[in-house]
Amino acid sequence: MIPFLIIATLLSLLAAAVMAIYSRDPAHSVLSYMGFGLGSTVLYLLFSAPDVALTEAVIGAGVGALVFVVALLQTQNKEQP
Amino acid sequence: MFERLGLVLMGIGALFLLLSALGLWRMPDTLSRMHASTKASTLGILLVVLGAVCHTPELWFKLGLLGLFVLLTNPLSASILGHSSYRKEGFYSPDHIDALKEESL
Amino acid sequence: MNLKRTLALSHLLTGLLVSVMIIALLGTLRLLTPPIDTIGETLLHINAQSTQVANAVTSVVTYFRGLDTLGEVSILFLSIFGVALHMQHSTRNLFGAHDTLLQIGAQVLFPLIVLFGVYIITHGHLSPGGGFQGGVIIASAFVLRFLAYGDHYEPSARLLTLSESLSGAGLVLLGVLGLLLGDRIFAQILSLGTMGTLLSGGVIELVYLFVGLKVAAEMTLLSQHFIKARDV
Repeated sequence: MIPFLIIATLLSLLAAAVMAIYSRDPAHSVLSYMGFGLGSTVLYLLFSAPDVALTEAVIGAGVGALVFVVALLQTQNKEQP
Repeated sequence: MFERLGLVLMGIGALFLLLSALGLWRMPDTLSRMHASTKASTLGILLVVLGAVCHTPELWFKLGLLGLFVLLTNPLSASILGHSSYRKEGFYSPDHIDALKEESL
Repeated sequence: MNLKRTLALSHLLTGLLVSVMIIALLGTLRLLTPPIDTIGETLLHINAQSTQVANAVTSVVTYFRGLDTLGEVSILFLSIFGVALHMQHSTRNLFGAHDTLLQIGAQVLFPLIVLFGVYIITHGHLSPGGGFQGGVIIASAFVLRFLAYGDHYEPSARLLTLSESLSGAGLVLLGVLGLLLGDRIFAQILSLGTMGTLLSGGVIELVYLFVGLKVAAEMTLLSQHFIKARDV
């Protein structure tokens, strides 16, 4: 069961990474990046490293998302007016 | 016995989560997608938490807090999403009634 | 268009190939070598003897490698310093939404999130988590308030700076005290307590408290600078 879960998580990580690179809208890229962070959290949990998983969840969903969203808002504000 | 019941509840919750993902994929526009995804996923997560409580009753306090947190945050984030989607693109209403516009947001 | 599609396909194929190779490599490594548990077993052994801490990762991070943690925290301090120098405040807030439901939800959720962060910090030696994670969770509660209130919410910058510098000074002081009273930096100068209770681990708990307070204040300041930045 566990190896199957690991392989499924790895495949979803691959899909999230490809979507983060190739999506047209930068907002979709940011969302895919956050999905990548979520997938790697699950992966660390499956490898029984809950400390690293908690750090990854906090950094990927909290700080990384904040930085990317702020960058996105700054660039969009520059383009529109 | 209770373990069996917990597993069944978790299965039903996972089914609801699957349904919400399916709705997110198949529905045509933003608001219908949210209609499919938020309610079904809230119910699914709560059912999974309830199943986990039935499965391991020692963790009832932490799992109850988890359920309360999901119950607080999930409708709130859905409401914010709907609001911002309305502000960005409006919505399609067949009889041209826009109740949010009359509130002068 | 055709070229782009070919490029995307080739990238996809390369990614698939690399991941298959990594999985195969990991599989063969696991098959060929005997299980590597020399360092882990030794660390667990020493941990059970010298520190009464249930979560061995915590004792490695704060006790055996306390100096590294100090360096990590100072790197964070330098980064917030650079951001504060680079970005000047403006009164405009990027998140200008005023949603009544969001404001009420933020009021309800703010103490809960802070409480969760404090729980993660204070139980860092018993369960997964610790100062850094709990500090970022507390800072995320402040980010929620920035989101909800926009310009009308300004946490006192003096208080944040004061708590940040005081906890940093406390961390350095704890290390120097260990150096003076014990044999090395962050040496164990308090009583250990029994394993598995909240007041166990001695210095480790204090280190995580200071680190958590410092990271929470730093991350709040950092997010405030990011959100209220003028166009650079």
